[in-house]
Amino acid sequence: MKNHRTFIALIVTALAIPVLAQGGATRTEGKFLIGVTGDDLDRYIGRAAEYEIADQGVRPWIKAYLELQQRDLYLEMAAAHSGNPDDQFYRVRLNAARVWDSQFTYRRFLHRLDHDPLENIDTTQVAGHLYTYADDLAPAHDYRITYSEIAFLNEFRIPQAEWLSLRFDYNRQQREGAHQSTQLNHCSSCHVTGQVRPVDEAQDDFKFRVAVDTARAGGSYTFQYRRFSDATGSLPYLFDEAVHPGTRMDVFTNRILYDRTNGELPISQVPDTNKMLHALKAYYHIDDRNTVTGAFLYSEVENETSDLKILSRNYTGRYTGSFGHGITLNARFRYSNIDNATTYVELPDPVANAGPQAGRTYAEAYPSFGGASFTRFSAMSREDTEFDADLSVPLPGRNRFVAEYDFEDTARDYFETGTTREHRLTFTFRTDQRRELAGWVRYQAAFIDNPFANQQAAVEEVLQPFSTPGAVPFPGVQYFQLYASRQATLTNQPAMVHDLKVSGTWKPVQNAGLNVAYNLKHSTNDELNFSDWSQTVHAIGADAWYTPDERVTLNAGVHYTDYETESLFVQPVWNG
Amino acid sequence: MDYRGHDTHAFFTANFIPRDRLRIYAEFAFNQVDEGLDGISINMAQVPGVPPGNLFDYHLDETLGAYSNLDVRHITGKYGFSYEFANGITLTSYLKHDDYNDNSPYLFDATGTVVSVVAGLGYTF
Repeated sequence: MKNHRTFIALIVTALAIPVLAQGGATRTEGKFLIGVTGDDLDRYIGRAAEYEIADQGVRPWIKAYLELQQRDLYLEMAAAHSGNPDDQFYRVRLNAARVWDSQFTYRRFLHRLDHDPLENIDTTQVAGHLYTYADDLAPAHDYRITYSEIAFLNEFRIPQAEWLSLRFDYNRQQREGAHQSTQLNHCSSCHVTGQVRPVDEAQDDFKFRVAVDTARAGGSYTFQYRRFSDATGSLPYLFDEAVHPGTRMDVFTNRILYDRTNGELPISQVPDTNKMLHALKAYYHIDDRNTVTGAFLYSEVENETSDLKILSRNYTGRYTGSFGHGITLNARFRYSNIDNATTYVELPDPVANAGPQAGRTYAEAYPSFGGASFTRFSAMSREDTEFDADLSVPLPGRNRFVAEYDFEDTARDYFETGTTREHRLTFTFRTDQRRELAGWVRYQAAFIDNPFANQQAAVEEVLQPFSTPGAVPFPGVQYFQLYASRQATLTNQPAMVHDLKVSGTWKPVQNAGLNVAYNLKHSTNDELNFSDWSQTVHAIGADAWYTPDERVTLNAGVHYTDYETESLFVQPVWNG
Repeated sequence: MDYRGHDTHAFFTANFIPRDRLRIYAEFAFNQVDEGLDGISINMAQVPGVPPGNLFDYHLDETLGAYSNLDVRHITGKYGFSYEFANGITLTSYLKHDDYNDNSPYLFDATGTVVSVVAGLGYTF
């Protein structure tokens, strides 16, 4: 009913616009549209209409637009409602004598999400006992998220001080609906469940900025506060009891952290966070041809659920210079420091209730395990140093050559990869010597030392090439011993990249044109200890346009991409 | 092991104004994506030990790539007109279709089609 009221109110407002517009405005323009949409749906529409309204049957829709100009007052209003409350758009813009410029926007749209029926998980039974199985606990649920946004943007200028501007922006984004949450119960039967996880997220952004702009120099200070919360927080879930799937004995309780005996536990938890940002920016024109700019940003992101913080500091500087005769030089420097809190993750150490390890914890049964608790060091903590410079030189005959060098050093405080260092060279040649033919070619080479990688990710040592006597899990090699014996480092990051791009435009006549482009990118990493990694991408495309006369416009294009990635594939085999 | 893929995208648009106040248009797009893991193989001579009892069929590894196969054809189109039949009053209409073909389903078949017919009346002032 509420949705119908919204729709009726919109119709009344839209119809009133032409009447209101007769109120002595200097200039009035507008448009009002009303109509119907009929949808016919066939089978699954989660991909065919992933972000669109698609309701079987007929629904009305309405759109309206109004522009008013009266002396120093400018007003613009736009509205659209598709007949479904999940698809709406409204905008109001007001400018009062260029002193106050304000815009309010509200938009709403939906995103359909997939629903995994879990039918690919086979049910296996031994002697009548379920060992693996799956349950979709909401088989008919239509998972979707409705996204809505409110943006209220304001700028203030004082006529007596035009070099000064103030800005206040408020933005609210909401995600409402539900997605599918899947859980795995194990060290009982391997039991996968899928259930509805309601979503009720909101993010509020408040931004304040004061800026000073003069012909010679200027700067600004921005303060931003962001708060994110999910009213749902988490989903209560009762895990299966950790018993042997065949004997139903309580023998695995020292191999799990929780089970049914802990009662309902929170799953699919999304933490509340807040962020505070201070940004200082400045520029100075040394003369007509040389400019320097600089910026400093400081931010704090706090996870209110865990009380952990991420602190970031970012310094940037840039020089832009022109040396006459079309020669230009740009140089940039950036340094950032990200500090993500270290924390100790304390985990329970339960004892086995029955079986050969009854009364003992896992660490007591296998002393080399040490314990499940650990200190979390974050791979996000790092220092980034970047420098790049480009020189652009004109060549005889409407040609230009640009050379660029980029350097990036990423020093991680804790992660095993340590420091990654990249040098990148780019050369570009542009030509438009003939009016009907123009084009450019660019070659880029990158050399990366120690790219990010998953250290000791695969290829376990052969620790036990035979079944454990009695086919029980208590003696013999344990999972933690297998994990610790992994030898191969794997990555999807290159140590060397060659990237070639060519683009040409042919315009044989005034009313037709053809653009053809080709890109070859070849990336390799032969620094891994067990295998090589490579990736090759070819992309070619052509776009054409033709306008035989002013009443006809034709556009067509075709693009083709071929890619191949080669990597080590490891399938670990053990009888758990 | 390698991961291979090739994507094809083609489009065509046309705008035609046969007479004043009448505009006819057509938009058509074709997308075809084929991707998948390939070249997974196992050399049994390099397997150091095989448990007794036929617990594992090692050659099943060679079929794992099929789970990653992606074969999607996505065709969209929009064809319509707008006609200002009186001063400031415009009739607009179009047909729109979105046809998603999942030719290698994995968790579920995502094939589906939406066809929409839209008609409206506009007043410009």
